[in-house]
Amino acid sequence: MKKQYLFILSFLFTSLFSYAQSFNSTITVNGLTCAMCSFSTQKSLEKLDFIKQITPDLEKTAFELVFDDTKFIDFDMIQEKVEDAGFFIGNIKIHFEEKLNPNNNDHAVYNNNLFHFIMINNANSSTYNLIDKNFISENDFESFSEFTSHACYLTGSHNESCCSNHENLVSKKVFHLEPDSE
Amino acid sequence: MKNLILFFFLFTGNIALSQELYINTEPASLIPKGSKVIRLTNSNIFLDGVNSLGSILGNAKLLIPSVSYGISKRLMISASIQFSNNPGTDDYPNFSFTGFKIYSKQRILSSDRKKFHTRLSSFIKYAYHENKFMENNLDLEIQNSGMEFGLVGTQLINKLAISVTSGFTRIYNIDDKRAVGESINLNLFKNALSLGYLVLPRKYKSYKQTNFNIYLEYITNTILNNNFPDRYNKFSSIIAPGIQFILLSRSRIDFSYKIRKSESPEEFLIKLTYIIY
Repeated sequence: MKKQYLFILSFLFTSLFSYAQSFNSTITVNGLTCAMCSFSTQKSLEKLDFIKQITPDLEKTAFELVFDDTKFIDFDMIQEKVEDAGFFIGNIKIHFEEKLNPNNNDHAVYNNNLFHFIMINNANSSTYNLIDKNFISENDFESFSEFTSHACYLTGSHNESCCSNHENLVSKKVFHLEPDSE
Repeated sequence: MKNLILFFFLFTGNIALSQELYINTEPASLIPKGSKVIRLTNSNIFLDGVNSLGSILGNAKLLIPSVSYGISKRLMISASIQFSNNPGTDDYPNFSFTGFKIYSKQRILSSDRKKFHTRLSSFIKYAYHENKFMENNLDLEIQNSGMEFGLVGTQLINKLAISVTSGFTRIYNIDDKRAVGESINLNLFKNALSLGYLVLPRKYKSYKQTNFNIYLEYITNTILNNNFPDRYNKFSSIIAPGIQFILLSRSRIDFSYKIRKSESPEEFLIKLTYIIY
């Protein structure tokens, strides 16, 4: 009986990691060579309601984004808005408030987002790189794919067959992270 | 003139900072989706000589308001109307509506790395103009009517911008003065090389910094018809140096001086641009 409870408890615990920890992001944008280009990109990003604040770093062609903790953060939309302005995402870094120490293939919910951690070396970090298919090169995607058998890395979404127990989330999307080595 | 271009190449090669917001030609990049660009061009053509009544010709003045819209990241459209006077005509008409242009640009290829980008686009243009300022010149931008389509490629390395435009122009209803009342259409092969170089700022810190760019544009037209009125040269060209200030990262003021080959008049233009996001 006790064992059963323990099992259920551990099951709930591992599958429903859920944190009210806010996270922010730094995106670098490629192709920006002038203040006018950066301004256009900023104006395009301002249309997203889940971004509270945008701070540009014109020299590094990067933007620091502060998110609204109550909303689902759709990184695909960030990419779309940058491309609408005529440019491309270089990379997206996600900064958590504290250092995380996940195991490979751990899933965790932060605010309204489900993240899947792919840990090639189990370094704990507070900064993670977004490594979903559309954000990295094909070669990189293939090398990361070797570290997970989960279908969600290919599809970008959680459903009955993959990463279940997240039905009550706002979005079906799951984003994949690897620790930033810098 | 060739030396000037060569000099410019050497100059920009060493200091790799530049811009691609050309003054007299279009870059291959498009305006952002959903944004509107409002532009006002004021142009003075320094006409030389006298008209058939013996009056000394002054300057032809042109005012061209235009608006562009980014329909998607792959498609933009522009429309402009022209107001002008024309001292070259005998009745010396007052400043009035004298034409319009519509233009569309489609992105074919777009590839970016950090501070490096390549763009390839196709474009199509239709122009209708009533005033002929230069009898012995063909210019779809200001005085002839016709269609134009072609390709434009822009390469940006660090901040050095080089753009090449190549296209086909069909000019309608040229007055063939060899026979009274006859008009003909002419086909042109259009080419342009545009160079942009950013002088200031050296380092970007804020959107409020004023950018200062210098430009050199070289635009050529070659008549493809075997038989054309002999007042035209088979090959004509414009060389246009220019400077540009970008204010608060959303408005521009451009100055350009267009020097035409042979005895055609020169032109000075000021262009004001404002982006509405």
